[in-house]
This record gives sequence, C-alpha cells and structure tokens, in this order.
Amino acid sequence: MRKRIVLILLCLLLAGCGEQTAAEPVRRTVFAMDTVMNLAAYGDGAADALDAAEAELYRLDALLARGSEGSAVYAYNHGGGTDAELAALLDEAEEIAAATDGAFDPYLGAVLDLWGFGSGAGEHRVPTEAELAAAPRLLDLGGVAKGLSGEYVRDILEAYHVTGAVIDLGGDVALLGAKPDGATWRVAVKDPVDGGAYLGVLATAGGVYAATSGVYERYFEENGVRYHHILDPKTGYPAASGVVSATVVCESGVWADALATACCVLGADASLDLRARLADTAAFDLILVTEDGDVYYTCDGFTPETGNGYTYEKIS
Amino acid sequence: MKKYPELKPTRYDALVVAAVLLLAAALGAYQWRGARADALTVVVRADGAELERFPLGETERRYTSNGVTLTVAATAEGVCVAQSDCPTRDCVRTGTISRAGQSIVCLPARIVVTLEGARGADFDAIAG
Repeated sequence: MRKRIVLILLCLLLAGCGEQTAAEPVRRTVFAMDTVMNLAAYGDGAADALDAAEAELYRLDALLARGSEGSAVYAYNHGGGTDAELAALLDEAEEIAAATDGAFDPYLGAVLDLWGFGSGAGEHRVPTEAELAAAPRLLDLGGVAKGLSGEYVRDILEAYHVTGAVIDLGGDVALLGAKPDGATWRVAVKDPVDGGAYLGVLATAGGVYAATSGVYERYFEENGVRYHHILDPKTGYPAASGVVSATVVCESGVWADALATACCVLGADASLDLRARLADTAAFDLILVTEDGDVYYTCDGFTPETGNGYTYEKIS
Repeated sequence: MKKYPELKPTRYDALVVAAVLLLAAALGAYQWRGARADALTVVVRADGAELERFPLGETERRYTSNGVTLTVAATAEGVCVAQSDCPTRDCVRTGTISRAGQSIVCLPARIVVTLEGARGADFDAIAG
C-alpha cells in the first residue's frame, strides 16, 4: 500500500508541471505632469526601484511646473535665478535651440498662455499679432519635461540593479536594459490620426528614448479652423510645416523630446537635414508623418503596418 | 535466484490510473480555459488600482473616481468611454480601442481602461 501512495504522490508531482510562464515585471502607474505614466521593471530591486522612481517623478513635476509657485521654473521666471539642476537643464535646452535654429524654443511660456495651451489653463483663443509681439520670453520646459524624467528614472532604476524596464511617460517611452528572455523590445507606434491604429512596430534594444510630438495631441477649433499646440517660435502661430507627427528615437531623453517638437515645426525635409547635421553629435532616428499621408522613417528596426492608407518610405 | 512475484493488476492499481487520468484532464482544462486567440479582457483601474475586469462583450458600466463619473461602453469588437463629465472629455475623444495593450485614459478621474489579451500584450509599449 505504501508503494502505491508514493506512486500516486509522484504522479501528482508530475501533473503539476505546467507551461513555463515568462517572468512578469513589477508595474506602477503614476499620474504626474498632466499625464499618466506606466512603469514596468524586471529585476530583484524592481519594487524598491519603482518606489524611488515614482517619488522622483513627483519631484520633477514640482520642479518644472511653470505655474507652481514653489517650482524652480517659476522662480526663474520671477527673477529668482536658477539652481544647479535647472541651470544644467537650461544649458542643454539652449544647446538644442541653437542646433535646431530655434525650431525648439524653451522660452515660449507667455505665447503658449495666450493661446490657452499654457499651464495656467487659460481659455483657448486666437491671440492678436500685437499680443504675440508683446509677449515676454518666459521659460517653459514642458517640451523636455518627460524626456528629462525618462533619463532620471532610467538612472534610478539602474542604480537599483533593475535589469530591464519600460518607462512609458504619457506615450513617450524610455527603454532600459533587456527583457528577461533577452528578446528585443517591441514598441508599437500609434497612428497620429486614428488613435486605435498603429503606424508600425519598432524593434529596438534598450538604452533609447522614443518621444512623439503631434498636432492632434492638443488643439482647439475656432470658426472652423483648427489650432494646435506646437507653435512655430518664429511666428507664434501653430506650425504649418506639413508634418502631423514626429517620433524621435535617441539615447538622450531630453534631445528626443525637444527634437520631436522641433521636427513638427521644421517639416520633413528640414528635419531630415537636421538629422544629417547632428549625426555625429546627437544621432537620432525619426518617424515622420505628413498631412499628405506619407510616413518617412529612418529606423532600421521599424516595420510598417500594411493596408492603412499610408505611403511608407525608408530613408537611410 | 529469487523469482520476482507475478504482477497482477488489482483494483488499487486501477484507482491510481483513474486518479492520474482525472488529474491530467482537470489540469488540462484549467490550463487551456479561455485560450481563444481573440479573448480580450477589459480592465478598469483608478489611481493604478484595479476596479473591475470583464470579458470584452456587449455591456455598459459606470465608474466614479476623483469626482468624475464616466460610462464605459463595450461591444464584442471594442470598448470606449461613451460619456464623461470630466472637463475636457479627452477620454471620449479617444474613441474605441480594440487591440490588446491599448488603453483609454481619463486624467481628471485618473481612470485607465485597458484591453488585455489572453496570451499577453503584443508589444512592450505603445509610443505616440
């Protein structure tokens, strides 16, 4: 009888063998910077790492919020000078402004407010030429806040020995390390016009940041005309370059974020020229969607979606 | 040399066989439940915590969080936020989602409606 009991127990053991499930990441959802952020981290320190990352996101939100009286940006705009952290970020922002010939401009705060796109949540309206001309230069780092956050969060997760992570900050995605099974990261790129569809899938290794700027993200309509939030610094009006959205893939989060905005202002040809010019100093890849339905992409790992009416062209 | 005893199956042996077969069948049914390739689940979270999850199908459900009430409407094909009393109604403007990994967000409510697939998401992230 004892042998039979042992036999039954052994069979039960064998029956317990199921399919190998992939390691699941630790996940965290954070609401900050006026958006929803989804973090997923693999590795032993993941939970603690995400605690630290979440705290950092709130800290950065408070630091950069232009309208918030305690923030470093508010202090700067009210004659309070800068602290070392803000100074370093300003240097980088101005470097990008110079590299893009002003297509990216970190001092558009007052102009954004006039349109109602600023942090002050004013009413959406079309400002007059006179108002635009008189607008002072006010620091607004909304165009690099998520990129900077992505970099800081990546650093924190690395410090906690996280082996792989997806840092999704309101649709801007930073990737750290690798998945436990070593497979390439797969990032779907949203169709800027049809939010339920994809332009394609980007396969990439970790260590990159994919930032997207698009005219359909924030806009209002007045008298049948649509006004979006990506302003051309030279005119103060929404950019009309023919680019509907730009996704920039770069190792630097701050550059990716700022360049995505700049490319929407510059248009397709000038964006590709910019990419060529920056090849040695700030290399980046691009997925550009134009209002004519063309998608120009430079990423080797990007696989276009088919049958969606877009015309794709790979640019080397 | 010692002669090995003859093996004659008894009813205890039959019991063991039956138990193993039953266990195997039960485990198999458990493993492969709902594994149709198109089985999608709607997951509704507020402030990151799960409020409810249900299989994608014809239904309308209302949720209130952080002072905002919204209505989630689903069919066999997809799910959307049909109505919301949030200030900007970006969640309603998002439209219908129909693929695993997609989500609709209402920031004022801090509610996120996500579609999850039976075999996990197709992508690690969605950029844009």
